[in-house]
Order: sequence, then structure tokens, then C-alpha cells
Amino acid sequence: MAREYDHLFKLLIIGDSGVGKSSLLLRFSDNTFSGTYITTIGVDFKIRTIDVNNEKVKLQIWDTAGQERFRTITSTYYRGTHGVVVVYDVSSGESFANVKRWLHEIDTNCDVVNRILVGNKDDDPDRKVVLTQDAERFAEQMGIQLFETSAKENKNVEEMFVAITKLVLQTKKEQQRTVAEQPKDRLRLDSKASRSKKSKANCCK
Amino acid sequence: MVTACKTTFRLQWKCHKHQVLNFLRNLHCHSVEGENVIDKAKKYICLIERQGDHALFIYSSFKSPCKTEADLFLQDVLPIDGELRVVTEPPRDKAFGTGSILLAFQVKENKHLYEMSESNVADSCQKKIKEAIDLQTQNAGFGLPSSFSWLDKYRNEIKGNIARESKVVDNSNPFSTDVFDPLRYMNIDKSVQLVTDEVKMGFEDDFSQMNVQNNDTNFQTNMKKSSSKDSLDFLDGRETEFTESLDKMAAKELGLKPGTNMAAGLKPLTARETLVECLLKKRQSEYVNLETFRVFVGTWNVNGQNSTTLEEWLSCDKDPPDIYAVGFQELDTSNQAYIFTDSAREPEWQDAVHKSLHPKARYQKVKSIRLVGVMLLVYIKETHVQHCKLIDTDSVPTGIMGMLGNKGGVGVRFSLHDTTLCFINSHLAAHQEEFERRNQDTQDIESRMKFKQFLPPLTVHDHDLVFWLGDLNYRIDLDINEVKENVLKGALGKLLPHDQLYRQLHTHPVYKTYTEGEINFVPTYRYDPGTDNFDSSEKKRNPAWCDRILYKGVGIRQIVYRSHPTLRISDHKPVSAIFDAGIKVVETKRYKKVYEDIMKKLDRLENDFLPQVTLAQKEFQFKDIKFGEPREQILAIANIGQVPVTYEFINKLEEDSYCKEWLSVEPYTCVVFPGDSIEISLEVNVDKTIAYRFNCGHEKIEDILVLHLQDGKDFFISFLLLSQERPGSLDNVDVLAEGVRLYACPKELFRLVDHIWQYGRHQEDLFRQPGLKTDIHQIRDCLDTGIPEMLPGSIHSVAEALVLFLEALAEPVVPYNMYETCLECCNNYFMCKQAMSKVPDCHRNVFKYLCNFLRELLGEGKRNNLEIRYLAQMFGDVFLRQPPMSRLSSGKLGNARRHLARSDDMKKSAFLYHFLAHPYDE
Repeated sequence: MAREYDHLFKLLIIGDSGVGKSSLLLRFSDNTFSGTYITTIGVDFKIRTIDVNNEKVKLQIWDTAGQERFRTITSTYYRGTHGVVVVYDVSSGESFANVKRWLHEIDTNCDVVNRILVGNKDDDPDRKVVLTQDAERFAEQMGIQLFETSAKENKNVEEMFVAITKLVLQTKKEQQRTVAEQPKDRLRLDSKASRSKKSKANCCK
Repeated sequence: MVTACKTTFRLQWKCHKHQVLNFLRNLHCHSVEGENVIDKAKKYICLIERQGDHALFIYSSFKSPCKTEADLFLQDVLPIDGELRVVTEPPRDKAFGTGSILLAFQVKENKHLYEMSESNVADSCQKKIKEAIDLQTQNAGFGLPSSFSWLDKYRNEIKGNIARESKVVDNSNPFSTDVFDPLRYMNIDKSVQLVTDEVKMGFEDDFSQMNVQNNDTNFQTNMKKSSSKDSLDFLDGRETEFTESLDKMAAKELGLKPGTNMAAGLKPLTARETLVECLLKKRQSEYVNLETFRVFVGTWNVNGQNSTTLEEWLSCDKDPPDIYAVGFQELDTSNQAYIFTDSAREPEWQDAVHKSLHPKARYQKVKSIRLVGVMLLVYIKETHVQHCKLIDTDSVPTGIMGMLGNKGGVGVRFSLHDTTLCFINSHLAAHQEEFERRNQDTQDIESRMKFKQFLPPLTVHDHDLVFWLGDLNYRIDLDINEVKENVLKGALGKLLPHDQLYRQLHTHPVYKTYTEGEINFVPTYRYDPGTDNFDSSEKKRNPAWCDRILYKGVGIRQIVYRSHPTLRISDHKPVSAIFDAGIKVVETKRYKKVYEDIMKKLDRLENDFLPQVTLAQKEFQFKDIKFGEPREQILAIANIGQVPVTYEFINKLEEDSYCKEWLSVEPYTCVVFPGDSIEISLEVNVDKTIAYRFNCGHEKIEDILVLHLQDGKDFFISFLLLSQERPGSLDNVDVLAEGVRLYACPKELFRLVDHIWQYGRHQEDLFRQPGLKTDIHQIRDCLDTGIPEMLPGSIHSVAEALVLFLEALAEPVVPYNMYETCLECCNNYFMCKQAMSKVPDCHRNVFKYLCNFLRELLGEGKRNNLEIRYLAQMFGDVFLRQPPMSRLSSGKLGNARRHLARSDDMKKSAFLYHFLAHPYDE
């Protein structure tokens, strides 16, 4: 048991209001689900430590308000984020249509960041309007991995979070490799610069 | 721009001795190296001049926007001399954003790249710097040498800064640059700091590949040093390798940093880890299976003899054991053995042991340790090697003065799967009557034996299974003939009660916890070497069971306990015991489950300890906002969590203040204890600074406040201000236009002016005395409703109401779009009139009407003391309002702004002066 964690990552959950962002987080962090809908007015976070390939990864997962009126404020919270979970509701075509906007939001607010697309509420086939194949096609187009989850039935939630964590971890390792391969003597302030890279590489604000 | 102004001041302050030639720009720029953005901190680049020499000062700020001087760090100083080159380059990576450009400063082979968001700014930067370079070259051409020694002071500052920064980042949190830093309280281990302290160039949570590799060699040498105890451990190369890799594994297991001395470099566990370990141990039964391992323990006092084959002793059983622990005493009785650490006997006997291990299995040595003549060798089946970890040894001399190694004990400990084992080989004090001494020796060995690889060092007691073997030298307190007689008769049961050790087992504190198997073999001491005959020398030593094997721990079953009389080279016979020991083997799957469960529980605990509050209300509506009438609502915060919560309202991105000026929050930060609640007063006050917004056609004003819990979540609190909708009120949208249509000027204006003219034109100090607030409210209501017919209150109140009314108009008397034009022509009456002619009719009418009114009042100047300059200044400010988005309306007070404002005020006053001095004819 070497240390409390080997990596510490910040994940962000975004998506339209009511698609189940908080539920996903609650399922993942506390393994609980509440049917009553409480709008998130603000941003909240939970932590969860998981093992990925025998490395301890501490996740700090931020849940954001999805309401349009908070959009500009929530964009503040993108800074320092390593991974973003974009959620839509499989029973709401509108929320799926808005995914593009959310992805755009990521592009404007983040630099290097991993993304994952999540169709939540995948527990009632009768109410499902966003077909898996459509979502998949879209995800492929955008170059994102798709997960269909149900926070209610605890379906795919763990898998989804593990998947994004793996992506983030992979990115980090790749970055380290590039840094390690770089000649170190070219910039005078190198020691300072490479040290601060970690904390800043993934944000642009 | 705000930051720009402020920074300029700071730089002037910092460099007061040198002239700040040009504050180039707050670049949203980062150091860039190759394709990689290396440093994203905001940079401020400043061109400084001192006695003809120029230098670039590069400041970086860790906060954005940077607000206090402390936020700025001098990052670099570049003298502008012949060696500096400046170029701009297009960005190489589109991630930098469009419109941005790279500015490169090159000094010799060092290239500093900065990204700037606007290319035109970069261009002007480049130009300015080039000018400075040109000047420098010119100076040099004239033989004026440049000395940049004045920069040394700043260079030192940089060194200090870098040192300081490395400390700043040492809080080991990747989010440390975040405004919102929820992890601060989570007790993120200090130990990581230790790591980063040494690995200066590494990432906070990175093992810094490079350094690890460098240190690795270091590590190995260290390891060799620490295993120098068994310096003759070269039976075959593989064995050594194995020991080393085991140590490496151990280091990893222990969380040792590569390159650290094992004894000293142990990292204390964090609170959470300790907890995890403790919980895991508690639930061990859930994930371990008890598997039986066969342990062979042997001990032989070889009396300084040369080695011989040992099969009869070590591999006389049918099945091969899993573990061998073989102890020797009096391995080397030569005098050199006391002086030199090396003994030729050691490899000889080790070799003998190695060759005599059970042929049906392959073994590797776990560890060997020797203290003069006392040597312990531990072997394990090759198949178990990977589960054998955390190997350590220690030795305790108890000989003469308690120091010399002629007597004493050695120990080897290791973990096998999830069970810890410890083997002790000891040679205790000799002689029949010295049994108290022997007890003392055992106690000394037990208390002084410390496995120092661990922090705190492990003792013998800290092990699940302990095997104690050796020449313990305990004797039989009976007459020699009686002993021999009973031995011959095979009546060992009669002798045992007289055995010193047997008597003390279970009773003496030292041996209380140890068990010994039943002795069914004849005493192993003392024989004539080469025979099975008891000592026939003059000394006539009493036969005794000197050589013993004790054990303690749960799950040990002794299979045999025997001596091996056929080995005759020594005056002792070898003894051996076979045990079946229950070793806790972790079932990975179940372990993982338990581990994950524990992690989850701890995470949940951690989450539970995050600040939790409920807010009674997250949205606030203020209806029927009235001008100048403060209104309050209460925001109740209740702490429903388990930790004290410090809340505070924080600025939104790119805003200077956490709330708009019309709102005041009290208290804006406070600590709320669990179970407590607190009321925050939210007071809205619509004054003239925002009244115009209602009048501009906004029916509502909205704002969102961010309520931040320290180390926790944020809430968004929405505010909605709704205006009155009664006609004719101050905030009526079209008051001017409407009014003009009906009355040629708004009826409210007419009533106010008329009232002042009728009742107040002779009033002394008119427009100089303030009115009463209550009066003004009544006047407002009267204007809104028309009741009562005559305006209430004193004449001063009415006068102030007039001014307030004009200030609150959606569009000032002189419309916004004419503001700049009017100011520009303020020195020329003709042009002023021309400007006014472009104003819409309704506005011009009001303007005319008011100017006439003021002129008339000036006509009564003898009584009311009014004079033209005063009125021009006062109403100039009312008639001409700066457009809301103009250069002055945003930002903090800076010298430049103040200066501008002053000159604007003078212009306004000059403008109106014309119209008060002359009758306004179009």
C-alpha cells in the first residue's frame, strides 16, 4: 500500500437538465438511487477511489447544473478537468439533440480532455426514443465512446466511469511519455514549466 | 483591461527607480515549448527602461484575474541587448485558438515562446521591442556600453520565486490552481510532499520516470549493502538474483521510494491507508483460505567441524517440505571467526545444506544470516517464491558483556502469502547451572531482535508464526548415572520433568507462549565425536537435550520431533522437526471484493464528511422595486452535514465582485456549525446607478450569485428584480416619448418644474440643500398617482426629486448617442446648438424647457443665490450621461479613468453653460 492514490483526476458531468447527471453520480459514489427529482442548482462533487490496472485512481466527480440559465457559470468549472461525461436521456430526443452543443461547450472550455457519451435512463424500452444505433452512429462520428446506462437499475454505470477513467489515465501516460522524450535543456525555466504542466495541461482558462 | 491598468500601477511601484516605458500587454500567454504548452499561467510582459538600457520583465500570475501584488511573480528578466531576437510566429497547434499568435524571444540558444491571443497586440509588442533593440544597437554603435547589472537584483528575485513556487505546488493537488479547491481539507497526505520535494521536476502524482531510472542503480547498490550480512551468498547466481528481486518487491510492497535507504526511507502510511490496512485485517477471514505448508526446522551444533553430507538429516522424509529453516551453532570455533566477518565455514556448510535439500523439489534461498558461529538458512520451494515477501534479518549477540557473538541469536522473517513467519536460531549460555543466564539470553534476543526494514521495526512478537530453534543448552538436573540409566532403559518420561527447559515452558515468562513437541529421542549432547557414545572424557558431561525446537502461533501442527544420531561428526546430534503450518492464502477475487468494498465505504465516509447545507430558498424575487427604497430578504443556510461549513460568495468568471452593486449581502462569509443555521440578509437597493436600466426597457434585472462552501459544493442563487408597472412611474419605459406627445414635455417634469417655480424660485440655496427621503417617496407616489394635487414636502425635496427624476430617465435628456458629439463641441456655442439640432424633438423640447427654467431661476439669483456655474455643472451632469458601455463605465477607479472623468465633467458643464448664458434659439 504505497500511497493513498496514484492518480487524482477531475471528471465533470454535463448535459441537459433532468437527464440524470446527479443520479449517475449518486449511483457511482454512494450506490444509491432516489426516484424523486431534485434539480441541481449549483455544482456538487463526490469522490470515489477505484483501481485501474492495479493503480489507485482517486476521482473527484463534479455534477453540474444543466439548466440553460446557468450555462455561463458552469463553464467556469471546466477548468482543470481531465474527463467529461456528456449525458443525454434516451427517452428525450431533445436532450440527445443538445449533445452537440454540450460537446461544443467542452471544445470552447477545455484543451486536452477526454470525453464520453452517455445515454441514461436506458431502463424502459417503451419510452426509449433515441435508438442505440443512431446514438452509436453519432458517437462514432464525433469519435466518442458511447455508453447506455441506467442509474436507476445500476446498469453500466460503473463500467462507464471506469471507461472514462481509463481514457484519462491513458492520456496522462501518453503526455508523460512525450514530456519524457522531450529535450529538457531548451527552455530556461524548464523545471518550473514542466512541473506546472500537469496541473494546467488540461485546461485553458 | 482592468488587470492591465492595475498591473501598470504595480509595475510602476515595483520598478519605481526605472522608468516603465511601456506596459506591453497582459498576454493571455503561456510559455510554449515545441508543440507543448508548458506553462499556462497568465503572463505579463513589461518593457522597462533604465538609463537608456531596456529589459523585458516577464511576470506570471497564478490567479486570474490577478488582484493583489502577491499574485504576480517575476518569472524572467531578459536584457534587451544584441542577443535578443524577437519574432512572431503563427501558432502551430490549432488548440491555441484562432487569432492567437506566438511571440518568440530568443536569447542565444534559449527560445521563449509566448502565446498571445491577439495578433495585432503581438505585432505592436514586437515593434516596441525592436525599437528598443535598435536603440541599443545604436547606443552600442556610439560606444555606449550597456550594463545590465541592475537586473541582478531581479534575477535573484526570480530564483526566490521559483523556490517559492515549488513549495506552492507541493500541496500535491492537481487542482491546486483551481479557484475551488475542495480537496484541501481531505488530508491529502503529506507524504506525497516528501516525494515531490525530492522529485522536483516530476508531476505531483507522478513517479517521474526519469528520476526513477536514475535512482534505480543507486537503489540496487543500497540493496546490496543491506544484504551484506550474507555476503557469501553465492551458491549460484540465480539465488542472489532472487534475493535481490525479493528485496525489490519488498521495497515496492513497503512503498519505499527507489533510491532510499530501506531503514530510513520508510514512508509512514497516511491516515486513510492505515485505516484500509486495519479494515482489511479485520475482514481477513473473508478473503483468505488457510492452506497447509510443510515446514522443516532443523538445528545442529556442529562443534566447528567441517561440513559433511546432510541428507540423513534434511531429506529423510518421503515428502519434500515447503520451507526449510536450518540452524547451526559453533559453525566456526576458530579465533578468527570472532574477528573477521567472513568465515570459510559459512559457504561450505551452506553448500552442504543446499545439496542435501529434498531432491523431489526445487528450492531457493530466502535468506541466510550468520553471527559468528550461529547461522540460520531459510529455503523455500521455488513455486512459492513469488508469494514470499518482506524478507528481513537481524542478529543479537549475547556473549561476553552481552556484546560478543560467541553466543546469541539470529532471525529471519518474511511474509508468505498473508502470514508472517519468523525463525530464530540461538545459541544460549552453556553450563549446567547457568539456566537463569539462558533464560536471560532468550529474553534479550527476543527483545533486542528488531527487523528494521519496517517502521516501526517489527519484533518477534509481531509474527503470526514463530519457530525458535538452536542449542538452547538447557540441561537435565539429575545425577549423570541416573540420566544414563534412564536413557538406556528408554525411560525418557522420567527424565523430562528434570529438564530445565521442560520445567520452564508454559511457566517462565520468556517461554510462556512457546510450545514444544513431545521429546521421544535421547539427549543430543554430549557424545564422543564419531560415535553414539555419551561423553567419556574427563569432563563427564551430563547428557542433555541441548538442541531444541520451539514454536508458537495459531495453526501449527507438529508432525515429528526427532534427532539424527547417524550424523556423528559433532559432539551434538542434529535435531529436526516437521510442522504443518496454516498459511493464510489470499484469494485474489475475494480480496479484491473486500478491498473494493472497504474503499467504497471510506469514499462514502469521505463524501459524508464533505460540507452539506440546505438552503431555504435558491431563488429570490423582488417585486415592485421602488426607486431608493431598500428591500431585504433572508437566505437561511442550515448545516446538515457533519463538519463545520464556511460559506462565501465568490466571483463569477471575469467579474470583479461577487454581486452587483445594487445588492448587498451580509454576512458574505461565515462559519456554520453542524446543526446550526444562519440567516444571510440580502438587501436590494435600486438607486440611480441602476434605475436607468429599468427605464431602458428592461422590465427585470437578473443576477446569479455563487454561494461556495469551502472544500465543497457551490450553489447558484438567482435574483430577479421586477419593476412596478403603474403608469407614469419613474421606470415607465416611454416616459419621455409619451409625455412629449401629450404635453410637449412629461407631465411629471412639468409638475416638478412648475412647483419649484411657483413655490421655490426665491428659496435660498435652491438645489444646494438635500431633500428628505420620506418627502421624496411621497413626491414619487404623488407623481405616480396624481394624489394629492399639490406636491408634498419641502421645496428642497421637490428640487431633489426633479434631479433624481432626470437621472433615472431611460435615455438622458441629451440622448446617449449624442454624448460624445456634445462633449467634443463644448467649447463652441454654435456647434453645441448644431449638435442639439440633431437631437430628437421630444428630447430637445425637454432640454429647451429645462434650460429656460434654469435661466429664469438664475434671473432670481439675488434671492436664491443660484449662479450659472453651479447650475451648469450640476445639470450638465444630469443632462449628459455617459453611455452605459462607454470607456468609463466599466472597471475600477484608476488614475486614467479618474482623469478622464474629470475632463468629461468639465466638458459637460461647459456645454450647458452656453445654453444657460444665452437664450436658446434654434
